[in-house]
Amino acid sequence: MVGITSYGAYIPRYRMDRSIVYKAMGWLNPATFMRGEKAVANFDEDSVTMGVAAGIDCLTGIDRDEIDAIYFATTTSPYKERQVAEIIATAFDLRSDIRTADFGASLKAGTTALLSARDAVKSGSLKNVILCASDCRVGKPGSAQEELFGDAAASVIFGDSGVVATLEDSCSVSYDFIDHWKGDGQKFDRQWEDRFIRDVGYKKFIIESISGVLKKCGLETKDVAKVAYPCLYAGDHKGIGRNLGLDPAQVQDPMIDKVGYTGTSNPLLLLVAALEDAKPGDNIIITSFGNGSEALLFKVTDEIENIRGNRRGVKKHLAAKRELKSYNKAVSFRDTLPIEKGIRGEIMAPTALSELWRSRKQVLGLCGSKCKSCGTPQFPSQRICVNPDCLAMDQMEDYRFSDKKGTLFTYTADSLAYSINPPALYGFNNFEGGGRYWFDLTDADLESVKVDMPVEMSFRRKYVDEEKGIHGYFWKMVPIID
Amino acid sequence: MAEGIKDKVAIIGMGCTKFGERWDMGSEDLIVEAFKECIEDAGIDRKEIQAAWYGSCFDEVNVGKAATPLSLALKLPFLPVTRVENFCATGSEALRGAAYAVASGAYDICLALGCEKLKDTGYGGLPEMANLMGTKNRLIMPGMTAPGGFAMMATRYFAKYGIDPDEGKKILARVSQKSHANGVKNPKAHLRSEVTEEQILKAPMIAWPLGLFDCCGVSDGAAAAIVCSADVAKSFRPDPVYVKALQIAISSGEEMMYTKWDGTYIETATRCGARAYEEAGIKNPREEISLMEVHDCFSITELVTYEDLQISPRGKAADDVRDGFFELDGKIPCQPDGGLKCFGHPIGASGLRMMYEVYKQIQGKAGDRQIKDPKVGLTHNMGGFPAMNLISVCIAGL
Amino acid sequence: MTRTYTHEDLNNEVRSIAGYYLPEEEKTLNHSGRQVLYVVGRAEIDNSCCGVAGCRYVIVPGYVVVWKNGMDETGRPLSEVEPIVDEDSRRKIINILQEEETVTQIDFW
Repeated sequence: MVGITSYGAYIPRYRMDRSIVYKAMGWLNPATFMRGEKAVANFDEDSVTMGVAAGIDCLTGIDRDEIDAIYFATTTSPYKERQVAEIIATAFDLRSDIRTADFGASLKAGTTALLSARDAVKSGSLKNVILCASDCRVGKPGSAQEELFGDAAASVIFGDSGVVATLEDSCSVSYDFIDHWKGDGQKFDRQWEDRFIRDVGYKKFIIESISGVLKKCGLETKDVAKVAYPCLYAGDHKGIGRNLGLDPAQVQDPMIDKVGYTGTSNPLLLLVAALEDAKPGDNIIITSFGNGSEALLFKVTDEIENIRGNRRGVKKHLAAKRELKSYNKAVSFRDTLPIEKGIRGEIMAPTALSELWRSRKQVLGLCGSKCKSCGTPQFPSQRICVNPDCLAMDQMEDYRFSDKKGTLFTYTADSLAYSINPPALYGFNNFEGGGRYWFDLTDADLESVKVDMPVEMSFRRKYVDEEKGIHGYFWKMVPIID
Repeated sequence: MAEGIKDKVAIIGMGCTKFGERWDMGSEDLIVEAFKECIEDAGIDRKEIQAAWYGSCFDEVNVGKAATPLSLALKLPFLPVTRVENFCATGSEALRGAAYAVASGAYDICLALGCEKLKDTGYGGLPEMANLMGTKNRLIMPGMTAPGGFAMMATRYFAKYGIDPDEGKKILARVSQKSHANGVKNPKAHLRSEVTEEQILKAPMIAWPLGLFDCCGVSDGAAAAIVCSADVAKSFRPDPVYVKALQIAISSGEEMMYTKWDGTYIETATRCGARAYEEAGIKNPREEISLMEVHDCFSITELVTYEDLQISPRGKAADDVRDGFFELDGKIPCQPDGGLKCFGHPIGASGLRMMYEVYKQIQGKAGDRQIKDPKVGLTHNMGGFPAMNLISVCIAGL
Repeated sequence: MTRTYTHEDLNNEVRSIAGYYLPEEEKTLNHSGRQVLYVVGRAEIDNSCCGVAGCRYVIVPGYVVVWKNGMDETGRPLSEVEPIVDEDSRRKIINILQEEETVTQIDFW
C-alpha cells in the first residue's frame, strides 16, 4: 500500500483584499473585479522559501534521515539553472545520498511530481519521497491574473508505511493546449482569450480527467467525499461540478476568496485542506489544470487520526493573517515597480560560491555545532568552543538550529538599514537548549514585538544580486503563530 | 614581569583639524592641516620624527590602503610608516603603536596620525556593513546598521532595569543635550548648536528607541600626536602629558554566541577599563578621573560606558545623569569637547581627537571649555556592535 | 497624570549632526470623546554614521486637558496634556492617523 504518509502547507501571512488591487488598477480594466482576498508572499519570500516552509510543516515529527528523495514543483523558480530541490534539501538538512528533481513548465507539475513519487515508491526504488509544490506567480498590474493569483505552497511525503491516504489511481490527459505561456526572459504570463480557455480547455480537460479516474477505480461521483479542482472562473467552477453530477457539498472549497489561485501548489493545497476534514474511508479527488489535466483519487485510512492536528496545514496558516493594505508595497515586493534603492542599496558584495559551498549546512541548513565536551550549542559552527570555561578544541558535532524555537533576547526597528519593507527588524534569538545568534526578524511589526517573546526560524530570501542572477537564502526569526 | 606603559611615554605635541563636511579638502589636505598644528605645538623640527603610525579605516573609499597616503602627503623621508586599522579605535591604535615604539627604546620621537575622509561616497553614512565583514558574514549577518545594533542594547537595558521607554528616552536626551552644549564652545566641532531636552525628545526615531539626537554623524577630519620618551619630554616643553595606560579589548564571540551576556553592558569595555585602571594605578576611578572623552556613537553607548568604566554603579548611570555628574561643571565632565555628537566620526581620527581634548584640558588650554585642575583624563573608543566589538581605553595625565 | 506641552515653532528646522527634523503642522483629532493633540513633521537623516533615511512622522503628546493656558519664557504657548499610555488606545489612534496622515512613523510621548 502506497500513498501520502504526511502533509503540510504554507500560506504567507500577508493577505490583500482584492478591492485594494482594484482601487489601484481597476480604472484600466474595469472587468477585472473579483471579491475576497489573496495571499501575498512577503518581500523575502518566493517559491523556494514557501516550499521550505510547507516542507517543514510536513516533516513535523518525522525523522529526516528516512527521506530518500525530494521533488520540487513550481513554475516560478528563481533559477533557470540551479536545482531548487537541492537548495530545499540542504535547508531540511537531509542526507546527501538522495534523489532530487525539479518539476516545472506547467501548472500540472505538482500532480506530475506526485505521480512520479508514486511510481518510484511503488517500484521499490524509493521509500519516502517528500514533495514540495510552490508558486509565487506575478500578475501584470491591471490584469485579471493580478487579482486571481495567490501565493502558497503545499507538501506531502509519499511512502509505503503509515499511509494516511492511499493513492488508488490517477488519470492524466495531455494536450499542447496553450492557455497561457511565458517565453524565455519574460517576467509575466501571456494569455489567450478567456472564452477559448474556458470552453475548449478548462471545462473539458478537468471533466475528462476526473471522469477518467472514477472509471479506472470503478467508482461514481456519489462515492467521493470531496472533489478538488482549480478555480479559474467562479461560474464555470460551479458548472464543472454540476456537469459531473456533484452536490455542492462534495466540491472542495478552492479558497479563491481566501488565498487565490496558487498554480502548481493548488491541487496539493486543496488535498491538505480536504485531509484536514476527512474521515477514514473517504475518497478524495484532486485535479490539476495545465497543458491538459491530471486527476488523482485518494482513499483516507485510519492513520489519518495520528497526524491530524499535529500540522499547521491550511487551517492554522489561514487563521494567522496580517492585512497588507498597500498595493504599492505588494508590487514593490515582487519587483514589478522599479523602485529607488539609493546608492547604498545598489552596492552588492559578490557572493563567494566557494564559501557558500563550505558553509552550506550553516547557511542553508542553519546547522551549527555542539561541543561534545561541555554540551554548548553554537552558531555558526566553531572549531573552538565559545564557552569561556570550556574552550575545547575540535570537539564539535553538527547541531541543527532550524527546528529549535527560541526567545527574542532583544531587538530593534531600524529605519537606516536598507530594506524593501522598512523599518528593518532584527534582534537576537536565544535558542531553547542553548545557543544565541543575531537574525533578521520578519512577518512582524514593531507594535507586536516584545523582549523575550517566543520566536522560531523561517527560511527566507536574504538578497537578490540582480546583476549576477544570484538569489541568496538564509534564515530569519518569525513570531510563532500557534 | 611586564609593568605596562605608565609614565614611559609623553605626548609633546598635538594637532586636530576642524571636523565637518570638508567638501574642499581631501585626505592629503586634512593630514597636512593636523600635522601642521601638531609639529608647531611640539616645537620640534620635522626631521626629528623617526617613525610614524597612520590610522585610517575606510580609506578604500578615498585614498586607498597602506601607509603611503601619510608618507606621500607629509613627504616623510623614507621613514618606517605603519598603517593601522581597528574599526573605531583606529586613531587610538595609531597612538598605541607610536607610544609602544618609543617605550621599547627603538625610537626617540614618533608621529601618530589618524585621518578619515568619508564624504566622497555619494551617500550619507558609512559604506554598507555587509560588504565589510567577510564572505561568510555576508551570507548570515542580518541587514543591520550600527544604530540598530546599539538600539538593541537600549531595549535590553530598559527591560532589565525596569525603565519605562519614555523615561529611558529622557535620560538619553540629557546625555545628548550635555554634549551639544559643550560642542557650542568648541570652534573645531562640526555641529555647534545648543538643543533643548524637548527638541531632542520631539525628534523622530532612527532605530527605536534611539532618535535623531541619539546618533552621531559622518564627518571628515584628522588628528595627530607626537610622542617621545618620558624622561626627555620636559626638554621639549614644560607641560608634556604623560601616557598612563593604553588598553584594547576585543570580543571573543562569547557575547554573541553564548547566552551568559545579558546585553545591558559591554563586556569588552568592562574588561578594558579594569585593565587600564590597573596599568595606570588607578584604584577609584570615580574619584581619580578628572575628565572623559567616551565613544558616544549613540547616547545609550555613553550611558552604559559610565557603568562599564566603573564611574557609575551598574544600573545607576541614569541617577548620575540626572544629577549632572557628567556635565562641564560636574564631578567628571564627559565629552567636554562635544564628543561624537558634535564632531561626527571620521573613524581614523576620532581616538586622537579625543586625546587632543584631554591633552589641551590637562595643559589648561581648553578655552571656554576648560575644567578646573584636571589631572587625569580618559579616552574610550568602541568599534562594532555591543555583541561583537573592540574597545580602546587610553589614560593620560600629569 | 498630565504634563505641560510647549507648542512648537512650526517650520523651524532642528538640526543634529545626523540630520534634521521639521515640525510642520499641529492638529487635533477626536477619539472616544477626547481631543488628541498631535504634530506632523518630516525628517531627513542624511548624515548619520550608518545609512540614509527620512520620514514623515507624527508625535502625539497626549489628550488635551487645558488648551493654551500659559506662555514659556520665549513666548511659546503652553498646554496641559495627558500622555496616552494605554496600549489599546494607542493602537486605535495609530490606525486613525495612518488613514488620515501620510506618515511612516507615529510616536507617543
